[in-house]
Amino acid sequence: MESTNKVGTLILIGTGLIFILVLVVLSLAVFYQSYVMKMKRNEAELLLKTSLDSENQERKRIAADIHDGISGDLNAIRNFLTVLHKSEKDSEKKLLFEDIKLGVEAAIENTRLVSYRLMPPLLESSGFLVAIEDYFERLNTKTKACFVISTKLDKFELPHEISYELFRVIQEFTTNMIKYGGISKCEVIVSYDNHLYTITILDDGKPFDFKEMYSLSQGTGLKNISSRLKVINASLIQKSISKGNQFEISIKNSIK
Amino acid sequence: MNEPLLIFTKIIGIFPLVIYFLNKKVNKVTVYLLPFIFLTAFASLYELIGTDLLKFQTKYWFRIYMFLEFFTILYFYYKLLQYKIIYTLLAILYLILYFYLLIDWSPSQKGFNDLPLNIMITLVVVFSSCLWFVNVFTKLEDKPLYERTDFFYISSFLIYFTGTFLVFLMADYLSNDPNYKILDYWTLIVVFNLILRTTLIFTVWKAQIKLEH
Repeated sequence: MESTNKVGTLILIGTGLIFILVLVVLSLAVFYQSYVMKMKRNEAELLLKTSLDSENQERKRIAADIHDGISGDLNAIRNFLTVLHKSEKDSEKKLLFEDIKLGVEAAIENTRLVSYRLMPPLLESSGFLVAIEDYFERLNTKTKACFVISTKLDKFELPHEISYELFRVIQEFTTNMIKYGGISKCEVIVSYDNHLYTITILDDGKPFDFKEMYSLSQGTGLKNISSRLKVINASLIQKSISKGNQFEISIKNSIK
Repeated sequence: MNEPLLIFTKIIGIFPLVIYFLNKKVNKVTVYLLPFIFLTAFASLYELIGTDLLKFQTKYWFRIYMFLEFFTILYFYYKLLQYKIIYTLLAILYLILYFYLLIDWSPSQKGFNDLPLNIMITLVVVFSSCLWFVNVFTKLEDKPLYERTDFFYISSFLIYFTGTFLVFLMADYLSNDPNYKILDYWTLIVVFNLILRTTLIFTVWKAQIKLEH
């Protein structure tokens, strides 16, 4: 009788032990996978940050090279042409100089535009809000849509690297609006409350689901937005509105 | 044995199939498990109506169930892991073993005489689970395990088959020894069945709303 009890108890204890062991193994697998994933994500974020930083530096360098080098040379050529144009008496040659001058001026304008696209000069000298305002003014002259920035803030206190990424994000959003959204108006509202900056982007264009488009991997624009926001630890929320799209970017102000 | 628990476990065996058909967006992994979900629902109905109400002989059913259970689970692992040769060999090995044991089998004999089959299905589950974990850690997809339906299926099979292994292993010994009431130990199998079926219900339902598309 004693041995029968022993066998029964052994079955119960054995089953209990196996059950606990399996649970421990499964929990360990879950924890280990989460840990490895976290490490992998950190590594990817670091890589992303490094590549965006180097891209930023390279943009700055090329923009400066174009501005100081090519633009300077073209301006000098334009000045020479003006001198030549004034001293020339032959009307045919004068016309030719005028044509060349026009071409050189167009080239100067183009290089200025390329330099601006690479690195908006106002971003570093006057800050995020002024750079966005200037960018919107340029868009308003070139497109039929109306771009407005509304804010009660006098200054935007985030570090330059963060401002730069936010500028690029807004640039990406506006490019998409013009390209695919068919918008007539876009408003960007910048507010600050409780150490948190909020940038609300509102448009009246074709509505789209950011997450869905992102997962469908359609275009690199949305991926670009997402990775830039990830690097600066900003969050993006899409809110549903009756017409168009509304996005809210929130970022903590680390400068106190 | 706890009768209400047994009846409850049998009834909830139908639910995974019901939820599966209510689910409009079923993920691939759950589709692989459909044969097993069907079998669980059919087994529940058969045991409720055939065995409890109409008092059909259970030994035939038990034998057929073991066979179907092995192949539905093997199908799931085969589709999930895609190791064609390994799973074909396991299927052939099981068929040989099953029919070899069937030669000596008779419904009138005492005990179950299916120890090798139980050992084999448990080994297949443990082996396949190990293969699945190796794959997960090799590929390192950016999705936590607790958000994956396949993890829940794998875990519930692992818990059920390893948890019931000792009772099935000792089933013949317990039924041949008059000092034991095998039904007392059968409660353990019912409890593990309850865990398996509850996890199935939860996972099939979760696959519908959030985990994967």
